[in-house]
Amino acid sequence: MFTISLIVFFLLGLSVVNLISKDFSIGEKFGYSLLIGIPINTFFIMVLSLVGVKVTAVTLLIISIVLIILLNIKNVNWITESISDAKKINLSKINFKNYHLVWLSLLLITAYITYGISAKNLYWPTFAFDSVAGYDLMGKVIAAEGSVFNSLFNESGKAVAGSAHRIIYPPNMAGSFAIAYMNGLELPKIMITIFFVFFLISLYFLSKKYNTKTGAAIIVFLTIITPEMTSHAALSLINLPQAVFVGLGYIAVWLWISNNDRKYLILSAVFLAINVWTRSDGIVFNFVAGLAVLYFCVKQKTYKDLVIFSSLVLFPFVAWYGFMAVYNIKAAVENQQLLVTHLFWDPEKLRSLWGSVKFVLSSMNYYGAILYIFFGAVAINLYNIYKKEQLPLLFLITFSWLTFTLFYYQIDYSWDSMQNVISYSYKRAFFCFVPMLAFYIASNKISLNLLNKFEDFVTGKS
Amino acid sequence: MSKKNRTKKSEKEKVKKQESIVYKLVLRNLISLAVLALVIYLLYSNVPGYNWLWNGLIKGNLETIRTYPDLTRDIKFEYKENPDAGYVNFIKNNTSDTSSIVFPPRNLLINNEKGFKRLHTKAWITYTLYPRRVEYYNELPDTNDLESFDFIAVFNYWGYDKVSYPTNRANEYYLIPTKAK
Repeated sequence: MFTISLIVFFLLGLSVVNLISKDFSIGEKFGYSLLIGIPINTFFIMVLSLVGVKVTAVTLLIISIVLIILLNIKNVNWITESISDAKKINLSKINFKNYHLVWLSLLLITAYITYGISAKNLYWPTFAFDSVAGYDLMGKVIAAEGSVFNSLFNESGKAVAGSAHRIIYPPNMAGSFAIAYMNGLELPKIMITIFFVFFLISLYFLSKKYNTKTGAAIIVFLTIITPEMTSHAALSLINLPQAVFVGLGYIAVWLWISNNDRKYLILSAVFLAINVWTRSDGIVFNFVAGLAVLYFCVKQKTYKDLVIFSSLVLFPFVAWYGFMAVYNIKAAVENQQLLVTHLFWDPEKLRSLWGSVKFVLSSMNYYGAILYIFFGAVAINLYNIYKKEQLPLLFLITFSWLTFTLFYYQIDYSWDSMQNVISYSYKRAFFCFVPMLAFYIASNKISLNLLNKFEDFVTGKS
Repeated sequence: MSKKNRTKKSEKEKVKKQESIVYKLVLRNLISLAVLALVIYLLYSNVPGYNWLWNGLIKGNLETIRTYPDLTRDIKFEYKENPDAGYVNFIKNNTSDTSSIVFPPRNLLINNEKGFKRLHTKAWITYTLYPRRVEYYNELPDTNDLESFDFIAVFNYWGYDKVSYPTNRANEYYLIPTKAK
């Protein structure tokens, strides 16, 4: 049953990808499909809960199948042609000269690390506290009771004690876990592995649209060897899935900016929409990406694209807050003020924040050498930056980083110490930047030139 | 030189040229691979996080999985979360899905000296014992109405005094029915 659900969700995701554009490569389509198909189903978990229909594996399957049919009614001829074209592919025509040992080795090491971390993930039961007392708990109860509004909320809508804000996060993660439970799985951790594996595939093929295949392999490799981030591929927490969608969304925005290829704008909007469907505070990333999109849409006078992008990236955020308002759902810690709601200037707090952030980020135990390599890449590109080359890419990374860090400045630390929040929350949320840092390291102007030359050198074209 | 010999010679040259291209490619690939191996080795040996990723996270865990392939889910959970997991697993294995259980007051669970650190979190015990109904004694609307529950979770001998039938108080941590059988 679980396999059938996954196949149907994959086909649903594929239909959406084809709706955005039929011109994505086969690798891209394969990577993106489940990353989109599963969140659509978690969205329908909320919709069904809202209309009072019990959520089951079968109801989700029926909805997905109906959507697949609706999305493909006009595509029948195209699908038939694509299948007959696929049959004509002659594998013997593949030019093996284009492939080389460095590329192959990077992919093999990546595959082995993926295998190792996935084996760990599937071996251990859920034990991470935030998941046991949060996402996995919610998933389990949604699956058993068939609704997002369930026995974890008391009569006044307050979430079960000890769940902090985790139960009231948008139900992408909890819904994914619920899908696993509804399909009879004893544990839902396979959903993390699915997100992680399809993320790596997507990251490779998305990066390949801008970089060489060795460059794309380096981006994936640098991402997967980031210790703290990869360790989360064996935990059922929410930070890694968020990084998946932010990372892909940002790279897609950059592809749109650099190539003016509209399909990547819509793709980025979809990924960033799923980002806020995973964590509402991800709106910070959508805001910065939105600024870049605003600038280029106004410059190109493509206002319709701006409206589509903005609507998509805001819709899940608004929908979830709407749902919470309808059911009067509240966090377990409802009286806790998370943010200071006015602007203020506190140099001591800023200094303390910077000290804590520097301590976490400079540790090679958590992020390996990726930040150091990134700063090295920026340094050797200073002349290109001065010449305004790839500035929007750097803007996306640095400005979102700054905004995200200022978000932590705005936090009211009366409920926990700043050191604790930075050591846990900030450290994990920083995963969102890892794919972007890796992308910049391999895709800055100097790296791109070198990688092109390397590709020619190693395949005998020069 | 005959035409036949000339053709043979040019074919030989062609093969030789082809071979030299292949050798050149193989050599370039091997040199590049050696450089990659060196870079990875330098990262691995100089960056503590990468060393931990390979030895601790990947190799260490694969070794554990190979050594203990058949451990049950409960045992693995206890390995990660004892003593709390052992306690809730005992309760889970001795009650049905429809059971309702009263836990000791939260302050007793917070201030324990036996290393229990999860039991005082309602969300945590709800997850581990779901779909059983669980409530803390201090959060009951009516503490005189314990018989509307099926069991009392005995913790540090707390709970024996809450039932009206005689108990032998033999176990520090146990599970007793609220009503005499």
